[in-house]
Amino acid sequence: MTMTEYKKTLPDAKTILRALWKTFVTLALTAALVFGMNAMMQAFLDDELRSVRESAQKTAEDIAALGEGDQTAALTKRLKLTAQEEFYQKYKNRESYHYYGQFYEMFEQVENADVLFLGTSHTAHGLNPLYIEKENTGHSFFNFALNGSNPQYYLDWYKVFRESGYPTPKMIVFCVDWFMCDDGWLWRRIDFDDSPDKPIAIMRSLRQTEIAAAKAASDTSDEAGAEQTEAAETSGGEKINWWDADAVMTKVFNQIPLIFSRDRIPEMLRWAFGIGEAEQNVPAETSDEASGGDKDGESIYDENGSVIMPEYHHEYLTDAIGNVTSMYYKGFIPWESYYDGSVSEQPCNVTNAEKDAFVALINQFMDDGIQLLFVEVPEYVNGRIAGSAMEENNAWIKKIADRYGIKFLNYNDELYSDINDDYELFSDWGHMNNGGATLFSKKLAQDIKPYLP
Amino acid sequence: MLFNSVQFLIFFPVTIIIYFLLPHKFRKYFLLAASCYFYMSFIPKYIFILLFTTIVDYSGALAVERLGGAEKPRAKKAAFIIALACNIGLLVFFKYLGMLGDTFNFFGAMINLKTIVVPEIALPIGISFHTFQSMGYLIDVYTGKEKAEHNFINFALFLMYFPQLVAGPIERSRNLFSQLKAEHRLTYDNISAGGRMMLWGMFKKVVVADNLAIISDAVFSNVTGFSGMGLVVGILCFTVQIYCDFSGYSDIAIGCARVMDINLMTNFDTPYFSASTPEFWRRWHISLSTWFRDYIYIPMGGNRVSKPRWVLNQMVTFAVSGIWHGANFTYAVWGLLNGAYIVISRFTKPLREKLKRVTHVGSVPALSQGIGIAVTFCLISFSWIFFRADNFADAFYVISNMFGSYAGDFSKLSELRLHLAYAAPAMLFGIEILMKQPKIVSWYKNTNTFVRIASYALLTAIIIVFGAYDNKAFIYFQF
Repeated sequence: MTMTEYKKTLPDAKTILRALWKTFVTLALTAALVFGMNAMMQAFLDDELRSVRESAQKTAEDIAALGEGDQTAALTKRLKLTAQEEFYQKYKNRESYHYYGQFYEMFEQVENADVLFLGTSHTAHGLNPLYIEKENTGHSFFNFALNGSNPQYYLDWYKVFRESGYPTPKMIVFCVDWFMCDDGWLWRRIDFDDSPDKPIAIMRSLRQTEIAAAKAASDTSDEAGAEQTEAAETSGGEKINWWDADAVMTKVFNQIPLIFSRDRIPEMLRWAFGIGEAEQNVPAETSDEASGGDKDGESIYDENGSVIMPEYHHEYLTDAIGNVTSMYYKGFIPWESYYDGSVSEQPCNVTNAEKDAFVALINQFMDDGIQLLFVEVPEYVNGRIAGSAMEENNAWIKKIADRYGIKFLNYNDELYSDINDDYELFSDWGHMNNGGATLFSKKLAQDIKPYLP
Repeated sequence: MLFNSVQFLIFFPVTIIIYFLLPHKFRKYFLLAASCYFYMSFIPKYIFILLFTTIVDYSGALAVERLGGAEKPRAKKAAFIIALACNIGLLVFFKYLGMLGDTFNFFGAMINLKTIVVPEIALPIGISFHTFQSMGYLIDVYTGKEKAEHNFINFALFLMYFPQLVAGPIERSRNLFSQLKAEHRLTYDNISAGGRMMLWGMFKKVVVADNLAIISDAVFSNVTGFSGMGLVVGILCFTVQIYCDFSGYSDIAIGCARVMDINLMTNFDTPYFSASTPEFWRRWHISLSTWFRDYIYIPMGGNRVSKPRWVLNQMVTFAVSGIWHGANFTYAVWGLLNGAYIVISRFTKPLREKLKRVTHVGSVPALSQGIGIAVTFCLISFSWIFFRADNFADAFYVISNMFGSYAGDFSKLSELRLHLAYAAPAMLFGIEILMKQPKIVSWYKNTNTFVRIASYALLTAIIIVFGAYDNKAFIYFQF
């Protein structure tokens, strides 16, 4: 074939230009539509934050009206905790707000627990530190389990954990699941928690504000200032590989409120057209008048007099004799749903990448001198058909445990109990409800005693 | 690599650019390599199964042709049967072994036979599609309707051409071979028409099907938690979901091929606007329906036989069609139910005509048509229960409780998803109705370019904002 003949087979420039031009115009119009709606969503979210500020201001005013005295201090605390609980409840069904408290603990280091629980949703809903710490005084516990989290997620999570400066725990109780290396089943990726309204980004943002404020207050030439500056610069989000198309797309979408908050589009439209709940929103000037500070000196506002995010104080509502009545406790998230014991089939496809990640994670914990314990939380065993997957995967976990000399408490096998047979303790075959979580936590509190550092 | 993935969004334009930059003689090699890459992006090792089918059917067809003389009819038949048996054997091994094992164990338990353990084998994606396409070619060569393809690359490309590799349309050799061999040019009309098809298919898949899947999955994964309208909502959602899922895939596949100047056969022709079940089956999954018609129904005698034999032909064809869809007896019942619809439809035709005359419904064609569409839609929706239910117990639970009082909990679903459950199908069927009106189609084609571009932009924005992004696989990939 000669060059002339080859050139004849090529598309003519006019065709290409025409197609490119129309594609460009279509995409430009699409962008205009999406970003137009995005501006509306941004305005809606801003307005909602203003309503949160008003609520916080009202709490502060109620507190201010109380006067002095011990009883007042208790009431003040209660009012603040109620406001906190209300805010938390508001978001309880929204993605990642479940985990706000966990990332708050990581970055704000309130409890500085020396024993951490990691695992999937089975652990997040099934293990309440309240009952563990009652039996094991001298240790502090925190549940960092997250739904949909697989070993690769925890590898990324551990980077964030170390970045936060959280004290190295003495022990990690890794709540292994027989399906944990199935990354189709466990879907979570670190970038899901990293959009502007998600916990990691929020906490980083708060940290950067603190660092910037500290930097402004002192001379930046000293060593500490340099370290803080470096921390502020490096804590700008997870690095992703440009060739990982899914991660890039998630990263892009995480920057667009219309996309990451799209489940709220109906609310946004009601707000925009003044239907229904619109009257609950607060006029902009109200928030501008908000002033910081409360009676006992602990500010619930930032330096601009605004509460920009829920205040998660890590104190929990209690009754008159001091029993904790808050459902959410140190990372534990209760989940109640009616379950009739029906059976479902659970095919499981583990991947070598997840297995490798799990081993890498164990090595990292070991290198950091952290003692490890494996626990498999109870399931309603009759509620699922898993073929041979459960036995095979548990055997693999046991092999890893033996290789590293880690104790493995398996509550679906050798530590099988009445919990496994009672579907009324479950919200589905794998997730315990509050009753199941309480029973199991009390049981584990006894069982882990010999292994605590 | 799913059509609704970011990877495909990169793969497709890159493939098109390289394809059209290459001299014609190299294009088929490149297209074959691209198709292999596309298939291997799912489970790489299964390319060997595809390769096996390709080699067997390529050499089988050549052998059939060479032994086709009158002096060796038995040898020709033997070559044909061996090749066919390899295809069917492969299908049985990967797809039906588990079902056969379960059936054996079920009946074996009645006479105290020891149970057998069948290993779990992952199903190669699209095996039913490319095996049927290949078998169709083999049968055509055997019956003398087609000549065997002598060039291995051409044959491999016929079988592996990526737009239709994993979920059809199941192409015929007479349509595809000549097009794959022809010299193509990138034209604006093809880019425009193909792009439109792909955009529309993407809307069907990610906006309609995947959003409805959230509701139908919630119902069918926990049928006992629902009753009455709760179940009806689940059934209706699945009815629209499966149509949009599969026809969406077909639209994207046809659109991709169209950009390359290749016309694949139409696979769906607005089937839910059919006024009878026979009409529905002429408009639903056309490439498979015609495959069964040409290679099973007609060879059995078709409708040029006695009535009892015709009934048998219909039922066998639909039972096989049911089993083709999945290795579960619920699919067989789904097929038989649809076969029964066709049979009853034919036998009740005089009665229905009489009823139309008596009630004067026949004198108002739109009303008659409307009633026909509504009844057909209900019958087809009912049959989907067996298609979607995990087992017979669930299917019978749905049937026996769907007319009871309402029970169910959709509260875990977001408000947006619930609104999309009716708004997206309304938009879909609204546009389909409009596109059936010649005047409107003509107006749209001749209207201002900006109006058309604005409509594409709106559709793209809807896909971006309201699409479900969990890369849900197409339902028909499992078949």
